[in-house]
Amino acid sequence: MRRVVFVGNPNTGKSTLISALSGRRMEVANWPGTTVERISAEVEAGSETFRLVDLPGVYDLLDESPDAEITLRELVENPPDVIVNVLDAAHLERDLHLTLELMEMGIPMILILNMVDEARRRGIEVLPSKIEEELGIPVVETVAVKGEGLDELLSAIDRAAIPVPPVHYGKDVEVAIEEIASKISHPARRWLAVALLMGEERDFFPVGASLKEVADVWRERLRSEVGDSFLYMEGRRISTARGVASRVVFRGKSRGMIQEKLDALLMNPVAGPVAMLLFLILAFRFAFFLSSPWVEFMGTLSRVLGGWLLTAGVDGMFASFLIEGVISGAGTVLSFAPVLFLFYLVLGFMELSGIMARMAFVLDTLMSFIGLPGKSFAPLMMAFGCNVPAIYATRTLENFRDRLKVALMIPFMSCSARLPVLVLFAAVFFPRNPVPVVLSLYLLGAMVAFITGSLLKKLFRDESPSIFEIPPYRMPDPGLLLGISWSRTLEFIRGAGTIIVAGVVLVWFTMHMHLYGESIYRLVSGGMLPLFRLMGVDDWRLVGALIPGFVSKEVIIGALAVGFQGAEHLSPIGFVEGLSMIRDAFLDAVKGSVEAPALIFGIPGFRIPPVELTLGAHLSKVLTPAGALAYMVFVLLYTPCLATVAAIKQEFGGRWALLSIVYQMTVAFILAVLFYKIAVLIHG
Amino acid sequence: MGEEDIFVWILRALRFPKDIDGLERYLDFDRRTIEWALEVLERRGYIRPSKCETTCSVCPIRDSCSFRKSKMWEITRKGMEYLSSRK
Repeated sequence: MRRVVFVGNPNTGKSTLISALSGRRMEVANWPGTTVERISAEVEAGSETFRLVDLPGVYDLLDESPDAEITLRELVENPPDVIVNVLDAAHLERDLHLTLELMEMGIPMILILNMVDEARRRGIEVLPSKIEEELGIPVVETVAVKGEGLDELLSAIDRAAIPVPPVHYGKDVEVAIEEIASKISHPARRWLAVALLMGEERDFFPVGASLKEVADVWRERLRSEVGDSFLYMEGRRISTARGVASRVVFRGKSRGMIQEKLDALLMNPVAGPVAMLLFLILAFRFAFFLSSPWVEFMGTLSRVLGGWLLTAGVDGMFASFLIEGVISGAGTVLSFAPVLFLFYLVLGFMELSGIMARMAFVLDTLMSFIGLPGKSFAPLMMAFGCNVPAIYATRTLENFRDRLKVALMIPFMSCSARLPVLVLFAAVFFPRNPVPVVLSLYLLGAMVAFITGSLLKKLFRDESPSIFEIPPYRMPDPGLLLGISWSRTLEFIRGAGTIIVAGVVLVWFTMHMHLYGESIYRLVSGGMLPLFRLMGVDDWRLVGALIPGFVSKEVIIGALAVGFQGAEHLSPIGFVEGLSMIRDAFLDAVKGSVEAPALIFGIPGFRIPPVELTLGAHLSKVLTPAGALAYMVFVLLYTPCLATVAAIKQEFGGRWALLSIVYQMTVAFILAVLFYKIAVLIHG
Repeated sequence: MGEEDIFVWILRALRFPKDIDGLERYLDFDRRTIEWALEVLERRGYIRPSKCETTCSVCPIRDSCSFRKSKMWEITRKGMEYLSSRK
């Protein structure tokens, strides 16, 4: 089987081409040790099978980005049988720079002019036969999204040939390249020789120290002639690319496009941010409402499993461990799956359609106050729905420090799981103004997030470059969109799942293991009580509910109900009864999904279920309004859930996850005490 | 010295600070190629981000800057030396 790698600038449609060639049967994973997605597929053409691999998009193999390192490492360490170099036909001059570099790699190669339809609409006509004549390699025109030119692409792979490098660096430099290349036994010997002469080294280059010294000597010798050899070589490549482009590209009149009209609206200084905000709210509400019925379905599934275990005779402590520990933990992980999958679909759509790039552009000024690029607005908005996908959405930011900054801000944005707690307390303790109280708390969370961003801006002084590439609008390939979303969801289940299950099991242990005749849960809650008295909370059950609340905010009300009203036990469920419950829950989820699109335009309302009102009566006996306000502030700001911690650990490492917990706890505690003291001062 | 290239043209243009839009008008190169060349030149110390030295009302890029914070570049001493060696 021949290995064929797709290389090109970002946004040239490589992944869409692989998706179209494979009939949307791709494998999506990550490049080892990175968060960069790896898309590959097996494709049969005649009697032959090709393994197609999409390498990360790069502008130059020597760029200092993680994507460029992956692409270069792959080409050097694992040279493919064929390189398929994909170019955006509308930006040939730019894309040919990489082509000329790839032609020095000594690997058979073909050229794909993708998106020729878009180029023609812009009045750009490229002559493939002229490029073939200029560069001496097969050239094929494609429109990946429409599936045009795919057969021609596959048959051109057979005609791929090792190209003759077209860039001539001048007589003396060519002598140096020749001498260095002659000492390298690797197909990419010329490219490696040029890189060494440019003063570029990577630990995976198959060259010895003595050869690097030879290159250093040559570089010094050539300095008087070429100056900075890096600039000189790259300058020659760009000049050659410009020369080729000027001979093969013909520009006519651009036809008026919908894209230009849409951009006039979306990139307008006033209308743009408003339109983007509306789009984000609607898109995330859609994902949230569509996933909610499936989250409930997952809950029923774990309840039925627990009931079946009881029916099967698994009893006592072991049953409790399995049901409330393991199954509940796995249920927590799985309940995130529908939310994540749909949020990833929305995010993927924004990335692949070109909307994300425009949002980055129009929101850049607003976000620059906290030293962040405009793109960071999307994860922060997403966090109002759920913090977990928002953490993963930081991957859309290129700079690690920007990603980290946003990830540390996200937990303060009030997710949907905190809403029921805030609503219950607001309804019980502030019955005349529950909505303003809850909205003020949402605002407080956002303010703390932005203050955190401003503090981190001072800590991390580097600025993100204000460089924007605005790709054309495209309808994303559905197969690619589904594949990427599914792969990211699986990654969460694999990566964060273990930590979540372990956390839930740990909480179970604290609740069921006893010391000195009391549960560890009771002892820990009681032990923390003196601290919480500073914020007017003087009941161990209120403190205790915050412990499972660390695992998931959804369970705080349940934990309070158990503490104040007694436990609700699982009952055995017969096999047929369980199946019928699962079927009903499934049908409810389908019904809920059908109704979801109508809900996205609705106004959110607060409804307090009767059972929670009973709990409210208990709460009002042990808490004053000032204490309740402080408790709400603490719930709003302390660590949102174990899944968020797991996501931060997966993306940024254990040290940052731990630091974020300490920071959130400290901020939550200080502000809760502050709010309590102020409330007491005002109301006495 | 060989023929002039994009780096020389950018350095020459940045004897007076400019943002990306200004460079694009001046150079007639693909925008992304200019952005890439700017990244290379900044990484290698030939240019640096330029600080605002005038009030916004007289700034040549005030229109684009009020919309989104624009980045301007200026040539460094190393850049000037490189430029004079290429003459």
